[in-house]
Amino acid sequence: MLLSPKNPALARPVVAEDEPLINTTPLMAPSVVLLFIWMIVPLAMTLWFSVQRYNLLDPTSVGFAWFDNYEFLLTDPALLNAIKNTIALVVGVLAATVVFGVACAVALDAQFPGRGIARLFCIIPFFVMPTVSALVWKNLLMNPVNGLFSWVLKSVGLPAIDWFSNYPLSSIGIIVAWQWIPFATLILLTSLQSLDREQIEAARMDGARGWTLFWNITLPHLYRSITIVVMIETIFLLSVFAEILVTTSGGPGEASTTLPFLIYKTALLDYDVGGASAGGVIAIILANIVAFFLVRTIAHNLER
Amino acid sequence: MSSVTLNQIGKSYGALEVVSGINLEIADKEFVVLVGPSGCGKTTLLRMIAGLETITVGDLLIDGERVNRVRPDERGLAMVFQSYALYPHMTVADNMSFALRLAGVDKSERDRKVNEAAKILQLDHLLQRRPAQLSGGQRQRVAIGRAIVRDPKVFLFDEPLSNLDAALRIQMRIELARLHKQLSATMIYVTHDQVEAMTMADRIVVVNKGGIEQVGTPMEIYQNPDTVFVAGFIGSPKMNLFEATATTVDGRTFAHLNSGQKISVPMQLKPGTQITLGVRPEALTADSSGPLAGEITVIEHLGGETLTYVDIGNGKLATIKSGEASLGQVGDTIRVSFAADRLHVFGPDGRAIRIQPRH
Repeated sequence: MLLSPKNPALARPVVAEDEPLINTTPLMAPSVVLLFIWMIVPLAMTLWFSVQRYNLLDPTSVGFAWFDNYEFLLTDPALLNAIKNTIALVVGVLAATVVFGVACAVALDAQFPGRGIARLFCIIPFFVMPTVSALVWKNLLMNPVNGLFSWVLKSVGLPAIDWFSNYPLSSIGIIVAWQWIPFATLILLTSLQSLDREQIEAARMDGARGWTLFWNITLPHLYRSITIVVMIETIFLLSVFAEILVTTSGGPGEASTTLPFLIYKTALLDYDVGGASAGGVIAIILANIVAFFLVRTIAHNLER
Repeated sequence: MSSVTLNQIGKSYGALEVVSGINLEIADKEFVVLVGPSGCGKTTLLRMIAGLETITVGDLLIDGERVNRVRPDERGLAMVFQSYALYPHMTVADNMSFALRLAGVDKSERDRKVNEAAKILQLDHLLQRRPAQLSGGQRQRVAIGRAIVRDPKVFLFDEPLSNLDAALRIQMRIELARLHKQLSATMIYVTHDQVEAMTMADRIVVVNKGGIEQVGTPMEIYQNPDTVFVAGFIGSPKMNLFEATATTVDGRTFAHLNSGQKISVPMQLKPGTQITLGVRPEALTADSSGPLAGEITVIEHLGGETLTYVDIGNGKLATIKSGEASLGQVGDTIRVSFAADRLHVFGPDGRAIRIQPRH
């Protein structure tokens, strides 16, 4: 059945121009079906729970809540705060990783002794698990009493900073950026290596060097890779969770609560599965809005 | 005035010497072509002149001033690269005016110069395009335009035509020769293609193994190659080169070819000397009383001319270039002769032994 031509009229030994000889739909079906179930079941369940009265502490309260869950969430200032925090974290980390990623890539592209080792060291943070790196930062580096940073500050006579109390979101941003700079560096470094040597030499003959060379030749060359980095990182940064749970647990107050963390808190700390599902649906909608603009701009950039 | 002088220039990477002892005077408004096989050091030499490679030993003078340690952009040179090296994110106009912009030339002056260069190169209608939207020949012209705009003392070309197809290459060759007249600029051109060298150069510099083999006008080099290498490298089809041993019979010198035959040589040579005889394909003619005999193995008809390959023993082929008519059939045995003054003799060191003073 698989190999039989779709159209009996084409059974002649003439090869049709556009018609594939093999009907591939049955071959693709298993994976398509599996992926579809994989996606549709959780989505359907989330939508279902989001209109239910579903509290883990009160098994008696059941039945349809309809849009009460949404109404409760949308009128709660915590949601707007979480969205603001999410945007601040994503944008801040993106900016930091792109700037430092470009700087690291340019530095590691240059010829110097021990370059191989330096490249290896630069990549390492990417392989450290988020919880582990967050704990290292929290207890060894940013701790106001025992941390390395406070020791450095104290040794030059400055007061120690209590990072997670005073700058919770920025501190988490620093940790996440530290984890993602290697990724940006890696992508931008490979892109730099594909920069035509003759183009640089032509620019040198034209009088560009140092900063002007970087600004006029190197950076435009990296433009595409930067958009790739931004797109991939956005997807992952929108769901940053472990670093927040390990360090601040969303606090102090709600100062470092992002949308994923708010959903977690509603479901597993407030035991309100219905409300959390409604939050999840809102997160899906927001993510899709971001994805729409992102994919459009990037597709436009890649076409150039 | 814009002359370039190379004085005992050499380049080495650690212990590896790639170019050594180069002495060359390039006069104002001269079109000099550096030609040689790949890896001979000609591109390294050009890059040293450009300032993209450091000079290990020797002096480079531009207009009599030593510029060994002057930055590339301050030497007053412009270079056209093999890959064109256009900036892909800039329009043609921006590509051409980039150097001027960096030099702080104001906008109206920049536009004027770009338009001027665009007119010379017929690029007027392409100024707002990006390099990706141009054909190979157009990119080539933009690369040249980028050089012209800078108004340099010397133009440097690094195999600029090697990425073009055959028809376009011939057209660009003519265009470059015209441009040289029009701009009356000094040009240094690197190529591995001896046809480009022969057709465009005022003077050819044949480079081999990091040193200069011979310098001269195209016809000088063609008619009087100094070495076996130059003889074999310049000219297409290649000059016939036969290895031989000198012998003396009755006071006359003969060359005993390694392929078995004997030819009289109009000069005195010590018997037993290892020599190489060279005869251009067009100097060989079919002649029933000729000194060389062989069987025709291949005949190539090129239309206006015919190349006949004759086996003169041990599989050694002699190439004969003749007019439209065939010299015979494949398998025929023919005799071949040549005028005595068209014979080149090279000694065991590969250097020419002059038969008689030539003009």
